[in-house]
Amino acid sequence: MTLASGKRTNQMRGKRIKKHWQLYLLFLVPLASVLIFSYGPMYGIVIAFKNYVVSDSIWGSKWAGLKHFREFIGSYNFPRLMKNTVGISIYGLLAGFPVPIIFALLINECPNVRFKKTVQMVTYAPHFISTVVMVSLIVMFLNPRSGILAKAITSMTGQRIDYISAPKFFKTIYVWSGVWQSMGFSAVIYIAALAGVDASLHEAAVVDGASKLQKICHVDLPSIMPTIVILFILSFGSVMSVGYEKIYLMQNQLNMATSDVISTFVYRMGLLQAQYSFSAAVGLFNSVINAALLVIVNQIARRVGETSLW
Amino acid sequence: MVTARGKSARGSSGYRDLGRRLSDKAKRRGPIRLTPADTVFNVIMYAALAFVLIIVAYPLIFVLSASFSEPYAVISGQVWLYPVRFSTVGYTTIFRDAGLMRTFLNSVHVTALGTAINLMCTVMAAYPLSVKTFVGRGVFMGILSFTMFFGGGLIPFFLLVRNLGLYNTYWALVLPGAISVYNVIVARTFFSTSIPYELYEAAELDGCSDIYYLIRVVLPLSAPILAVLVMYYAVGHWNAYFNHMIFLKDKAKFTFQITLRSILIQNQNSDMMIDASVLQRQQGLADLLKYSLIVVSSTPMLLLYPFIQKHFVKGVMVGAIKG
Amino acid sequence: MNKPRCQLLAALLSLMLLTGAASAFAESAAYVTDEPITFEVVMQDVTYIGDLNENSFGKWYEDRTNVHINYVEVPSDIVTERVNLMIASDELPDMFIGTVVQADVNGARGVFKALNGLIDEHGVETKKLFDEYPELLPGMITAVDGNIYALPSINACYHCMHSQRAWINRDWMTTLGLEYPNTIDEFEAVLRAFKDGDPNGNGIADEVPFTGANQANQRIYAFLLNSFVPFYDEWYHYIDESGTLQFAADDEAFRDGLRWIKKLIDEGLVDVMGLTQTPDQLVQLGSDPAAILLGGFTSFTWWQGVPADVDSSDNRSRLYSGLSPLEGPDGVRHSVTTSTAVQRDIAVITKKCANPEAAFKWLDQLYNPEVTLRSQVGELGVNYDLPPEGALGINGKPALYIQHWLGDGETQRLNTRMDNIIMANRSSDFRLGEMADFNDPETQWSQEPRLYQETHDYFVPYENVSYYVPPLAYTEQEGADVNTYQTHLKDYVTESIVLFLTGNKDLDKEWDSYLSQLSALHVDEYTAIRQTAYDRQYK
Repeated sequence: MTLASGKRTNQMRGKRIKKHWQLYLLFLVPLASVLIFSYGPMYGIVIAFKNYVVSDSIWGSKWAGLKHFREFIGSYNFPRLMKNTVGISIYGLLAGFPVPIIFALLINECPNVRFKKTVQMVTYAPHFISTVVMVSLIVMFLNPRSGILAKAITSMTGQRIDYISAPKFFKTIYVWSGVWQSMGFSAVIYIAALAGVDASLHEAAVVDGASKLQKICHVDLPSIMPTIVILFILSFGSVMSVGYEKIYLMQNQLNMATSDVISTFVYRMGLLQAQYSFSAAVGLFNSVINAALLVIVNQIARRVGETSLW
Repeated sequence: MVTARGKSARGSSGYRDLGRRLSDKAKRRGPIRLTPADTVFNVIMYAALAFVLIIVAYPLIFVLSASFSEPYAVISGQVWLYPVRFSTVGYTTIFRDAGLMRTFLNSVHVTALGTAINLMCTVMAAYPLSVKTFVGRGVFMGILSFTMFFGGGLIPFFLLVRNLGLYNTYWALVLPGAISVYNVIVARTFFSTSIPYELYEAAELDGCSDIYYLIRVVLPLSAPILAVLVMYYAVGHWNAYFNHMIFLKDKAKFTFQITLRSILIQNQNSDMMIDASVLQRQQGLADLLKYSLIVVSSTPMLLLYPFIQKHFVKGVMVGAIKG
Repeated sequence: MNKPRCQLLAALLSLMLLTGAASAFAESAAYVTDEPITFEVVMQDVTYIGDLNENSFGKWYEDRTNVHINYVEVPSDIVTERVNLMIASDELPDMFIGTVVQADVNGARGVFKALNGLIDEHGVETKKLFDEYPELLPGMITAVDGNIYALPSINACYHCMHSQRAWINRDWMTTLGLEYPNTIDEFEAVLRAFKDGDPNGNGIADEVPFTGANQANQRIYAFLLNSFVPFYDEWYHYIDESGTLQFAADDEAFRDGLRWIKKLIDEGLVDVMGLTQTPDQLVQLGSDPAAILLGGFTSFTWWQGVPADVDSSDNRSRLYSGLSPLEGPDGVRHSVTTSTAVQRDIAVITKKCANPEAAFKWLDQLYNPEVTLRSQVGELGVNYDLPPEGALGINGKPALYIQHWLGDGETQRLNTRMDNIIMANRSSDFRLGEMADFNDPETQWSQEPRLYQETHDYFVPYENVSYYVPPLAYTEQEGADVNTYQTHLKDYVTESIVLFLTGNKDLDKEWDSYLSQLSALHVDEYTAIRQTAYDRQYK
């Protein structure tokens, strides 16, 4: 939406800058913080191209060029690592993205305030369970011998399987336990966005004879669509960044084929001695792909709708 | 008729009045009778939420019960729903630590300070970016977004913080992460979609400045997003330990999570070179502590949530658009 | 009248002078410096030891050496990062103890001082150590450039040096009338009896004959393969009679071993879940209150499989005792040496230290037996008492001290000793000098005595130290290569072993591709580099 229809001219632009001088002042503070603390250390990216040792200065250590990248991409398990990393991320996205939204929409429609608040509070809590305990819980519930979940599934299917060790179940277990844990916390932003929806729209809809379901589809959902789209785009910016801790605790030799991801591999490489340059190179590799994905998805979003990051 | 483009249809004043007239009408009519479709929906909704409640609550209850059980009961897998051989040894182990209270207060201090700074800076970044006529917003957005992906790593960052004289102070924990670009984007989205443009136009006509508008109009209407930001940042600060361990040298300044982790690690230490007297500390206690720690560590944040929830009240917008 | 009193006075005075002089002489022998100096030392922060600056050992040692220390503590799980940051930002203390990172690499760049000269000139206790462990010292602590950058600590944990152990249920064997198994066939028979004979007497075939967990020292195959080839799952090399390093995971004997284990798994004699389960799951299995389920398991200690006495109500751990490695078809029967008494890279003096001689002498004295006793065991009367005449230690030799262990569940912070975060000389005799009253029937069940006994009876007899590959020092390039090769090889070998054992990979059809993949992962270069390093350092 532009103020004046027609071409923007430099004159108009200059006028606008003057008009919003206060905004520039405001923006200066966080901008300064970002420039100092995020761009200040940015030169450290070169570590990925050197053979860095802590007792050398960053500039003083020897150049290695693309050696670490080549070593990483050429390693025998690279295809598997890529496949698992991307696979887990995409699966997590597809499964995990809609759930908090649906949950928030349902919560929003709940007239019983006490029930609503209880559900919100209870689902918010699992976010604080540490990864170690989370994995202990998963292992405990899926223990073929004694786990509740495992026994329940066994009684239904008649088969006793060690779910944790089965390669084909790893992603499912990993992703859905993550959904379980973060659903309530992730829904908060949508609940907040729904709170920003004009209530008179709801009442108008009701008067028009819309059922609750129609209300959700035609009022709520469109109202929070920009938030949804933005968050969806942003989630593509972390496809390569599957964290190592939870997977490391859950993986074993049998499920390694589907559970080994880039971060767990880098972690194992770094166990014996600090491999700064190697992990920096892998990190940079991941970042470039993440950034590229984000830009691409953003472009698509821009073509398709009106919401995009920039 | 309310449609997906209901928002832009709001542009006409006639619709605004309609909203008001309808709500008056609805109030006069009395409670709305539910259609059959609505009843079905309600049933499904309650069932779904109840299902979610159970599957989420059960493991939580388990964690709570395990934390109040005897070590041997936990390690042998006897705990299922309620504490077995009730015991508070997990908690006494934690609270016996002399430094715990102090680190708890330190964490409160850091969290409060950090969240306040975060909130201010995030709004100061997000609001200008949400103004459509703010020249350069694309460039600024790019500058910020770039940092979401690319960074120099721990060592240059540490050197910078140290060279600024912030080492071993709480500023090192609170200033570098003053804004999270992710949160700025989310806040910006909220500002640009939930605050109706008409309000800005009206304010412009009245001759009010940007800052005045921000403080007097936008912020009061942004309670939900501000609440969310507070929650995100507060939880982030409360759970943080890595940066704290890196930047804090004096034990007196240590924060809560650092102490909790130490307690856990100490009881978990399986290094075979360690003296048998340390190994003697029951393996079950180590297992048990994991659960007690979660309860202790997360309770403050859980207590915070109702205050956040308060601000997610619907209908903040009603009456915002008046003549 | 004054004369006798004067004489008495004079005698007293001279006596005092003499003793004063004598004690001063004795003191100054321990004094590191005449003028008191202060050093800053970075050490680990472990919760069970309180503030190091309040520690009574610290104060005792300060009085003895005339050196004051400012202890800086770093949380133990973040030591590497913090120390690296200190080095990178040039904010170094005078010494690092227990917090040393990459001693050789950083030493070569001058961050840590080379100690050779100091050892030669002032290393009273250090040289005694060299004499005590000639085959390890000084080779093990010497870097490739010939310099010694870091001092070691001695921790002769008798049982830790043979940490790959297994345990078997003697009670069940008695119930079923079985003999202690010595060969793999006898072992198989025992397992079969466990499985079929219902030794826990509850009418259900719920016994788990043999299992383990997926963690170092707990892997089933690592233990059982030692009936075929010397094998330890943290590295795969052993040194044969000619001094050549051999890679164990590509031998035919190794394959035979896998075949045998797979057979046991297929027959249900070895628990297939034991290949992948977590240590927690193993303990849960062994702690089942309803019945005793475990026939045998591989673990560092018994309380990793069944609850320790302090935890359980039925003292069931006493039903288990050590299972020696079995004798394989070629007569191989090997108990792995998993570490040595010498822990390298424990203490360094940094370039920032203005008085390295004093610092070195301060470190050197930590090896002194009297100092070790004070730093490791604690204060006389508080942490330990002197044993009565004729009392024996764990190893049967005269006892050195009676240790007062911390009580049940007590986790109060110690501040009378520094335990293993500081350098010391915990020789075998020292550790096993803890008094053990074997007249008391309960003694044999407590920690250290039992660990000693079990290790001594069941594992040490089958040890062959010559197979052990000691820690090696590499050049920077070698180190980087070894790290890469080792990570890849370890990943691949462990994964392949488990896949072979579960039948997911075929031992006959896919063996050749396994070998060629090992080649592709540079197994030959890996072995060659380590051979070079070994020859350079120890031959």
